[in-house]
Amino acid sequence: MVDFLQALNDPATAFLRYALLAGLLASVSLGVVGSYVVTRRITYIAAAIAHSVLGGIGAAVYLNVVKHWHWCDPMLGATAAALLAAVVIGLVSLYAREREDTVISAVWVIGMSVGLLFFAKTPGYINPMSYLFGNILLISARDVWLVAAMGAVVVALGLGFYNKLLAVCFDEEFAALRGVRVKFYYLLLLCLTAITVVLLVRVVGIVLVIALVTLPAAIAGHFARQLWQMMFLAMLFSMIFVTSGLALSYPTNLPSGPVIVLIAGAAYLLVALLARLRRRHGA
Amino acid sequence: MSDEPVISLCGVAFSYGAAPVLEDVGFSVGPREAVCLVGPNGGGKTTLVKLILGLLTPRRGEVRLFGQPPRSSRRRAGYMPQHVQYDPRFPVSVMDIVLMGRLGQGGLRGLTGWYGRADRHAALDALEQVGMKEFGRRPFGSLSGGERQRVLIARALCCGPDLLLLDEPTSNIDTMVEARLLELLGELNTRMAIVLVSHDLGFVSGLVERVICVNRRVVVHPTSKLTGDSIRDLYGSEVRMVRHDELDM
Repeated sequence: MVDFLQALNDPATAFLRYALLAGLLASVSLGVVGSYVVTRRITYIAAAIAHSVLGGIGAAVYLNVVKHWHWCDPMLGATAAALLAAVVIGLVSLYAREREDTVISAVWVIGMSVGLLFFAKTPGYINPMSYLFGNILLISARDVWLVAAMGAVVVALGLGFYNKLLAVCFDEEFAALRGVRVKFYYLLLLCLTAITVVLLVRVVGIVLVIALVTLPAAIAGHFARQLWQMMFLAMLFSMIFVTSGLALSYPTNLPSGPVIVLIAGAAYLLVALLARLRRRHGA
Repeated sequence: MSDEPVISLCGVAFSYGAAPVLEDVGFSVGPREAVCLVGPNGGGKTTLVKLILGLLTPRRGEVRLFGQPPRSSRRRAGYMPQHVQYDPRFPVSVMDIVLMGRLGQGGLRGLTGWYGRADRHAALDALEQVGMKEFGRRPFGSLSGGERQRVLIARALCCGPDLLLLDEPTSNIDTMVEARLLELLGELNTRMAIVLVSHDLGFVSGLVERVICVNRRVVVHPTSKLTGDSIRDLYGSEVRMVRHDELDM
C-alpha cells in the first residue's frame, strides 16, 4: 500500500497516476451509463459493442503504419467502431426484433475478426493482448484528457435527458404516448454506452470492460431506491474497484485489468449472496 | 369543447399475422361520454385500445382521436395499461412514475424532459385523487398489485387528459377502493371522456352510458338495454348476472 502511494508520486511511474486518474474519471460515466444498461437489460449489447472495438483499433493501427495516416489514433478507430456497432445493433433491434441476438453475436465476432486481420497485415509485431485485457503501461497524459472530455459529454447527455431515458427504460410504450421519441433515445443510450466502453479500453481492455459497466451498477441496484441513487452508488463502487485493483496489482506485479475485474466480481457475488440470505430470513 | 367525437373508428380491421383479431369495427365516443369495452379474453379489447392510441396501425379502416390521426393527438389521452412489463428490482419511486405523465410538454422543458414545481404539484394531486399521496417516496416494486394499479391510474391522470383510457382498472383492487375509484371516475367524467376495459359489469353499470362488446366484431349496447341474452351472446355461455338494484332493498 505504501509502495503504491509512493509510486503514484514517482515521476518514473507516471503511467500509474494516469491509469488511476483515467479509471476514476471513467467511473463517473460508468455509474450513469451502467445504471441505464443494467435496468434496460442490454448488457449483452454493451458486450458486443465492446468486442467490436477491436476492429476499429486494428483499422486505425493499419492506416497509421501502412498508409501513414498519422492522425489516425487507435482510440479514434475504437470510438468510430463502437459507435458504428451501437447504431447497427440498435437499428436491427428496433426494426427486426426477432433476430436481435443473431445480429449481436455477428457484430461481436466480425468486429474482432476485422481487427485481427488488420493486425496481421500491419508490419511489425502488434500484441492484441494489450487491447483485449488492457495495459496501463500504455496510458499517457493525453489519454487522461481524452477520457475526461468524452466522459463529460456522456455524463452531460446521460443526466441531461435523465427523465426521458428513465421513462424509456421503464415503460417504452407509455413514453411513446407522451411524445418521447423512444427510438432516438434508445439509440442515444447505445451510443453513450459505446463511448463509455471506449473510455476504459486502455485500463481494463475490451474483454474486461463489460464487467465494469455492469457489476458496479448491479451491486448498486441492491441498495438504490431510485435510478439516480443507483448511478451515484455505481460510480462510487467503480472508483473503489479501480483504486483497490491498481493498488493490489502494482506491488504484486500482476496485470491490473483482471485484478480490478476480480475484485468487482467478488464484491458482486458477496452482495448477491447476502441479499439472498436476508430474503430467506424473511426481511 | 366542441361536440366532435373524441374517438371515432370506421371499418377498422386488425390482425396479428394471419389471425384476424378485429373486423369491421366502427363506433364513436363523444366528449364527456363514458363507455366500457367488455368481452372474452382474446376478444380484442386491449388491441382495440392500442389502435385508438396509435400504438398499433389498423390493416384496414380509419381511427381518429380528437379528429386527428392518433399519433398526432394522443398526448391528450391518459392511458393506464393492463400490464407494465416491469422488473420488480427496477429502482424507481412512485413519484418518478407518476411524473412520467408530465413528459411531452412543449418548449424547452419538453426538449429536456425536466420537471418543474407545477409538474410535482400535478403528480401529488393525481396521487391524492387515487388515495396514494403518502406513497410518493416508496419504491414501486415494494407495492401490492392493487397499489401499483392505482399508481398507474395516477400517472394517467397526471397527463391532464381530455380522454382517460383504463385497461382493467379494477382487476387487483378490493371492493372499498373500487367504490372510491368509481366515485372519482364519475367526477372526472364531468370534464373528460372515459373508456374502460372491464370484466366487471356491476362496477361500470352505474357510470357508463354504453357498453361496447368486443369479440372480433363490435356491438354497442346502451347500458339500460343490457340483458342476460346479450351478455350470453357475447361470452358464448351462460353468465350469472348480479342485479345490484335488487340487493339494495
